[in-house]
Amino acid sequence: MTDDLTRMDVVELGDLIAARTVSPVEVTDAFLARIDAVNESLNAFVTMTADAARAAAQAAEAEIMAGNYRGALHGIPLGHKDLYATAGVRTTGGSRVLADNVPTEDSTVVRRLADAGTVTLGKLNTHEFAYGPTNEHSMFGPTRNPWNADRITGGSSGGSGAAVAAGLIPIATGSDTGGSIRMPAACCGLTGLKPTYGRVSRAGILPLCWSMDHAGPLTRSAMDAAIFLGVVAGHDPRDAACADRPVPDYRAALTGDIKGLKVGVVRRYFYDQAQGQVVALVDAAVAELTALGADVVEIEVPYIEFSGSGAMAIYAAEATAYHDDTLDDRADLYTEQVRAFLDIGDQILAKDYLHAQRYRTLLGQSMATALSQVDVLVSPGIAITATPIGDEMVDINGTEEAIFGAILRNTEPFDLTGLPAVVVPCGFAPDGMPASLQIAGRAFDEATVLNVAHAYQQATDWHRHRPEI
Amino acid sequence: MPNRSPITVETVMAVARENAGHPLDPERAAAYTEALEPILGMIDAIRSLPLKDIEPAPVFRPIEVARHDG
Repeated sequence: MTDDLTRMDVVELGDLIAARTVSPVEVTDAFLARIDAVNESLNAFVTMTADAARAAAQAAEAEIMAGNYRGALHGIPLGHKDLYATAGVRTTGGSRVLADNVPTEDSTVVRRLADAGTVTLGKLNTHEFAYGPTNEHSMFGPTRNPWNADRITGGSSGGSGAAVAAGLIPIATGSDTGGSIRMPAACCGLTGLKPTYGRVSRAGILPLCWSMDHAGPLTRSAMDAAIFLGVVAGHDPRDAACADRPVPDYRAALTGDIKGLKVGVVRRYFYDQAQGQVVALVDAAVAELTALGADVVEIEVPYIEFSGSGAMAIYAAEATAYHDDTLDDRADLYTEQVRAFLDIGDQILAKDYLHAQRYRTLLGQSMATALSQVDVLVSPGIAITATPIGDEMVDINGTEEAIFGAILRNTEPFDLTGLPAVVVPCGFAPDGMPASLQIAGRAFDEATVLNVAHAYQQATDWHRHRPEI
Repeated sequence: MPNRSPITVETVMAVARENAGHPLDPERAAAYTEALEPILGMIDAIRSLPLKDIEPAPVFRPIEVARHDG
């Protein structure tokens, strides 16, 4: 029974807990045992809160037995990216700069999830301060991919990706500034949702880049992501960018019916520079959407090819501004790669930053035009499959390219524009690693984006594959 | 497309020291200069886009003060 529990998603576990077939204590113990057995080989969890987790699970069990069931996340174990403030629990951002940082207050997302009855098992490895897409550079060392421990998990929410994929937890928090939820989800064969900018509060999450940071989940299904979003979305006065808009019933919106939905394929940019092994799997996934009744058309998004340039100017300026004080006197505490990125930010001119912010609006207008013609845009989630740890270059159809640029290419446009985007696994490449389909939509229309993902997952079983580890 | 002169190690060292207050040793500055040149070229390319009537995305938010009744 224990092994079975760790292979389940949130909906399956929640149904068993709600029916009192299993207790939150049994579920928590099963995942803690799995962590004991597997975590050392993956380096996903970096701080454990096992005692507090058992206490929370016992409290959840008592509440449920007393008839006070809070909902689909009650008694569900999870882990938080080590960028999320957790009261009384070390929060390092994966950096020696914050090695001893113990917040006194939870981040808003952590608090809302706790109020929903979740059981926190611990904190998850991250690329240092979320400033990198591979999860190789952290004070705790690299996180390893459960599908092949010699490969990267993608980052910066790489601990979250490895932990959910390996069955250490069924769901995890992540954050996404250039793709840091979707890249590890894609590399690890998971569902990863970046909601609309402002949909979910970032209060209490260490910032990388204020104007592009998003909070969201890494999960085993689109339905699990919908459940998570329904709990954490909504206005928070602690985050100035958080939108004061009603929160729909996302779970109810996932009907799986996409007949007549217009799906736009943006072949230029998203496909042109993607590995052939990835494109073949994504083409098959798009064909599945057609089979489900969607109306698939090809569409253009002008100016999208400048996404990397715009994003780089904005990350570099904002991240360096945030870290300026620490760079003055403790620069040696950063990993070499992150320190280099931060130092390079010193060279960005104010006008470069502002031109990049103007570009965001131009790209947003371009995306809005496209999304007035179709309901969603689809593309490969990332252009490549997970690369070997330590590699700096990757071959894309005979051309060598820097991994950092290649892996960020397909996710960055939706951080720049703030539009919601989800990735779902869509098969395995000949190298044995997962590939993913990305679905992006209109601002605050997570329901449609997730419904397309859900429809695809109702028709396929890629999201049910688990690595043997 | 605007013409931009390639960045030099001396410039990187001067900006780091005088503008940012983070002095760099020559070896590190040389490595950064090599990385910076293509990045700055990419960023500069944004200026070729039709940005004339577009304001930057960040929006200043006036601070509201809660009213005290009575």
